[in-house]
Amino acid sequence: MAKDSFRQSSGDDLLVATFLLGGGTFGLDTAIIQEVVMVGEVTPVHHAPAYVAGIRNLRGRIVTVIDLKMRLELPLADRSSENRILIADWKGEPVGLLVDSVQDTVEIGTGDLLPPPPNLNGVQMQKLIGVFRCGDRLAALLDPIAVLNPYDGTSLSLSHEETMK
Amino acid sequence: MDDELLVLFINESREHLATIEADLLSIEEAGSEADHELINKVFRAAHSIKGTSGFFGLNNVKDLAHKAETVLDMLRSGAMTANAEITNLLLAAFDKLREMINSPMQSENEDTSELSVSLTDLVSSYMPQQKKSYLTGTLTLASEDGSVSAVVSKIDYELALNSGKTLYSVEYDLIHDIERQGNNVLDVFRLLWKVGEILDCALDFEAVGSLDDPIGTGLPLRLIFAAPHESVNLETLFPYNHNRVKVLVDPAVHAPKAEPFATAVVPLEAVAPVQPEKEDSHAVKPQIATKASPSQPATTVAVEDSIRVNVGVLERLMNLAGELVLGRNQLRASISQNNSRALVTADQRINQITAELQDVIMQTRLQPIGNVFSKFPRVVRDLSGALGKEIELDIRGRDVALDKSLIEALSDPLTHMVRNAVDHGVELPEDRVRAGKTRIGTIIIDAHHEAGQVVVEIADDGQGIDAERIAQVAEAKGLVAQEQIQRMSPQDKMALIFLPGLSTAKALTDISGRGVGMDVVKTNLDRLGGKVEILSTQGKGTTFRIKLPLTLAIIPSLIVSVEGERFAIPQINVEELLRVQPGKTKTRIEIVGGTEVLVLRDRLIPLVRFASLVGVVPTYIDPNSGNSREIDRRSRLADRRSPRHSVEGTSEQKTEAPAATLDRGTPERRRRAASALEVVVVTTGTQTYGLVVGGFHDTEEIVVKPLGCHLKGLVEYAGATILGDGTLALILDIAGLAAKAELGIVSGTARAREQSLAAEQERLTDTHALLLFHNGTEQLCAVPLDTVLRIERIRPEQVENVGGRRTMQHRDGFLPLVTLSDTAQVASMDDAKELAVMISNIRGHEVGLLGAMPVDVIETNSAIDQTTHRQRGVAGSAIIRNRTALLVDLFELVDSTWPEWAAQRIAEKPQSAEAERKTVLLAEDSDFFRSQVSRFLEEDGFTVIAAPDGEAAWNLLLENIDQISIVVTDVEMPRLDGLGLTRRIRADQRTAGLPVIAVTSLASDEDFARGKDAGVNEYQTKLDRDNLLAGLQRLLAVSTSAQSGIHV
Repeated sequence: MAKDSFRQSSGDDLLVATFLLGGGTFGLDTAIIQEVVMVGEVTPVHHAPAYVAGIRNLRGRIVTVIDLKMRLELPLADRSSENRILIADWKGEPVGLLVDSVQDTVEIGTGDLLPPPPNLNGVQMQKLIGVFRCGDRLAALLDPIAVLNPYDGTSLSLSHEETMK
Repeated sequence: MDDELLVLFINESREHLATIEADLLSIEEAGSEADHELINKVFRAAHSIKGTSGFFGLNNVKDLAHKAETVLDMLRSGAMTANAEITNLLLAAFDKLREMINSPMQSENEDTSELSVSLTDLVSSYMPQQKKSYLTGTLTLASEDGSVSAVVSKIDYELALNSGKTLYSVEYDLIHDIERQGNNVLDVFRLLWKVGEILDCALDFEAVGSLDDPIGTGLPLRLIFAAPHESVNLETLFPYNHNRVKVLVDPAVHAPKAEPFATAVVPLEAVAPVQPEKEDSHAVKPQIATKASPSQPATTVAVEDSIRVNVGVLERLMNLAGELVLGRNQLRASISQNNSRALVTADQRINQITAELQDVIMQTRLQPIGNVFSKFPRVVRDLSGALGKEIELDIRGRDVALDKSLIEALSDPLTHMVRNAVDHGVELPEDRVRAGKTRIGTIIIDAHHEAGQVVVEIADDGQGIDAERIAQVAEAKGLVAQEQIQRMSPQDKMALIFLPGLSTAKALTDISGRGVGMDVVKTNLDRLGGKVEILSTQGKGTTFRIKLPLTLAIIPSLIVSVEGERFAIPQINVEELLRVQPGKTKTRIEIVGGTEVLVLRDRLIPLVRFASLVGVVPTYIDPNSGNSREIDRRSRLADRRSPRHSVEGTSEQKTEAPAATLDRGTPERRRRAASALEVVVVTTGTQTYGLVVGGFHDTEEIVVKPLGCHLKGLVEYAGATILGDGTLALILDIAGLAAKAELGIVSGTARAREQSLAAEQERLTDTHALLLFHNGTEQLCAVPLDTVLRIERIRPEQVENVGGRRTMQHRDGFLPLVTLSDTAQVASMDDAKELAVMISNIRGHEVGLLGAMPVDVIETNSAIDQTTHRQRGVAGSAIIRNRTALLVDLFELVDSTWPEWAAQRIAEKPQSAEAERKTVLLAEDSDFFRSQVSRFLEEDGFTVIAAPDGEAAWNLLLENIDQISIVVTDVEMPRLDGLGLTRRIRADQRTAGLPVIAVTSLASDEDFARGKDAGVNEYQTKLDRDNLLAGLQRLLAVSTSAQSGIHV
């Protein structure tokens, strides 16, 4: 449902920022990305959900940094100087998305978007809108809502805190 | 007219009106004892509205304000005493005034006649007969020289004379005397109000003449001003127009001797609003002479007119402004030198200062929460009156400051909850009496600080919430499934009232629950980042606890470090700091019931090891080389997330970690593992404990910032802050940490604590503590915490393969190791990077169970499924954190690996047990534990009769009284608990001699004592199979010999 509404609202052409995650190319609508920053110092938050890499100071604001690979359950790799954090906006709150490296921005039409291949694992399937051709390889367009939403939609929000305990 | 002035007038009037309600209510409450100053305050409000509205030509407003003023004046003079009728009328009048002032353009069309008539009637009913004509009569006054005349209402004239005032006719030229002098009319009025009263005011438009007149013709503003003659200094009060000020007298009665206005007039010494002291008026005068800025004359008039800013905050602002200038200089220098490096530094500096400036400026917006609370007396009064209830409202903590926006946003949800408490919480007086309570119900609204947050509690002593009823309605409406409800605690069920959809139910208002629009309350509070909890005991009352983030507050905090990471502890929670020297740990720290306790003077304080609680990996110092063998933060981050993380990766990352991480050398890095303990003794107000940290740093004033939505569920943090060097530190929530460490209940009020204790008692019946770990990469596994003696962290290479069996070197010997994959079909965990060994004692041998990090302990009440995932070594599964966790059956695992241990054990067993099969009655409410214990008792040669609770066990016992030779019972059980069952057994002579073993997962000394009292023979820990069996054998042996002794 979220994916459809997103697709409609995005209009015809989409400006997509592409980046690498564990060797694969992924993309996100540039409209939700406010800026790209260096990794800097990420302070770990113990007991946080596993996909949260920590928090970071962004000019006086506290940004929750999500490790996208962790979020997508991709194999982890070493940190490198190429790593970047994409700052996105989730309901007025800045959320950082940790990626391996930032590639490019490309314009894609809705016609260029293909359904995700069926052999993806369940998590990735849920978080993808589709795939598109990017140069000589395929890139996966991520659903920003599925990536940024703190609730996985599996638990009743009321009991959420309870199960966390 | 000037729009700006009108806006000013509206704002000012609103401020005056804001507090009137509360004031009127307290005047009513105090009756004849009413605070004179309070009446004066309300009077002044009415008066200033009256005076100013005349200027704007809002005659309807002016008339109504005048009528209200008259009533207030009679209250002030003691001619009448506030009662419900008077208060109602005044409230209605002020409501109408507020309405009219909010839309001044429409006010002239409003019909105020009904109110006016009521007010006039009221006044006239208190007036002496001969004075009644004063109410409507007017009087024409003239100046002594006869040049000016004015029409004044008789009552105003009378009042003025009675209080020893002289009437003046004052003429201003609005343009030359006021606006060209940089003042505005309201400022002039304020100044006059300090000295006396403005009885009337009007603009003389006719005097302006036509547009053809030369520019500069004045716009005359005429006032009738009443003030004590001696306090009027014409030259200073009217610097530009003193020659146009005339004393007015009644030409008919020159200098009349005023009679007392009412029979019981109290002589008034201070009728003029804020009668200024002599020096005071001097102090004001120069301001006027030197063109006062609009805000200046306001300073002494009314508090509401200005924003109060704490001097400390102002000083911080000054400092920051200073720093900003420094930053700018730095920026300029680097630009002129074209030094890009310095430019970056300057940029960062300015960024930081700006962010901080922003925060401090936000601070100035803090307002007392009393602003919201002030309307509740009226809400409660009106609503309880309408419902026929008697309610006393107790408001506490009005001074607690919150951001203006937060205060505004809180207003609706709080009002809703207060209404709810009146409507559904407190019962009718007759019902209360029938229930043995006082006739008058109480609602307490309390705001206070707690653990860096603002807590607002709305507590009533009414009928409480019927959780079951709520659950039924929710289920009937299809909002929750039945199986969900079965798993819910009463607390969860009550929380269902926040579900949208439940609220629309009309039926809910009829039942004992609440729920009208509570989802809206919850949504609003969620939006503010607040949390709401319900504590309710049926028949006793309900407390709603709202926790609000102190997002904008600056709080002094102690900065501590733990393994290189820094954390802030709000100073308000810190009691003292102490260091336990290495040699003293033995005497200062004791182990009580499995927890470390610090002996501090005459107190025992539980210790919480912060590092292990939050899972910070400890660093050790190599005693030989002095090098720290720490695992740096970045790789640890990865560790937490992936067991597959390569070892090479770690070393690479280490070299690449930013210097800042390593250089921020904290004292504890240089100390050995066995060095002194640094303890912060913290308190939540109700609970005190010692937090063991790595080291202390300075105290800092920190700005609390909320954590993002992904981290909302973490009770252990109150937020985060940016430290002076730009790095982040998490702010610890002392109460949340205590809960995390399972130190017990932390709550504000004694009543809340009582209620939550009851809830906790409920919860305990069905929870088990599990130790969570990973097997392989993905599989979550769990063992009951009771079965584990200790946990050690090892590297994979420490595991040795000897003769096909895994072992590791451990304390001078070898520790045999098992993994779940030895017997069960699960992924092996050869690729785990860091292992945990959970050491248990099974069949007299110490055995280590291998698991992958991270390891965690949870308390869960989720149901254990014993069929789906059952296989050798796996007792069952449970849903934990939305994942399936396999429950490891250690005994089965060990028995299938070393069958000889079990055989050896059976061989050691006394023959008698083999000879006659004894029957055990087992009472245990958890399905999982019941089947586990039954299974191993049966394996060890007992016949087991099992019951799910004490009541059922008792019935089974009576049915099988001849066979059963011993009882094993859980302590916490529904219907009849283990101790109750034991008492019943002891009380009945048929069963009084039966041995009883109580098994429990929580056993403090107190529990033991209570058990002994009830008649329990032995206490055993759940699932400690060997000890339980030993206990059974021992008790059976005693009872058989005792029986045979009787026979002989």
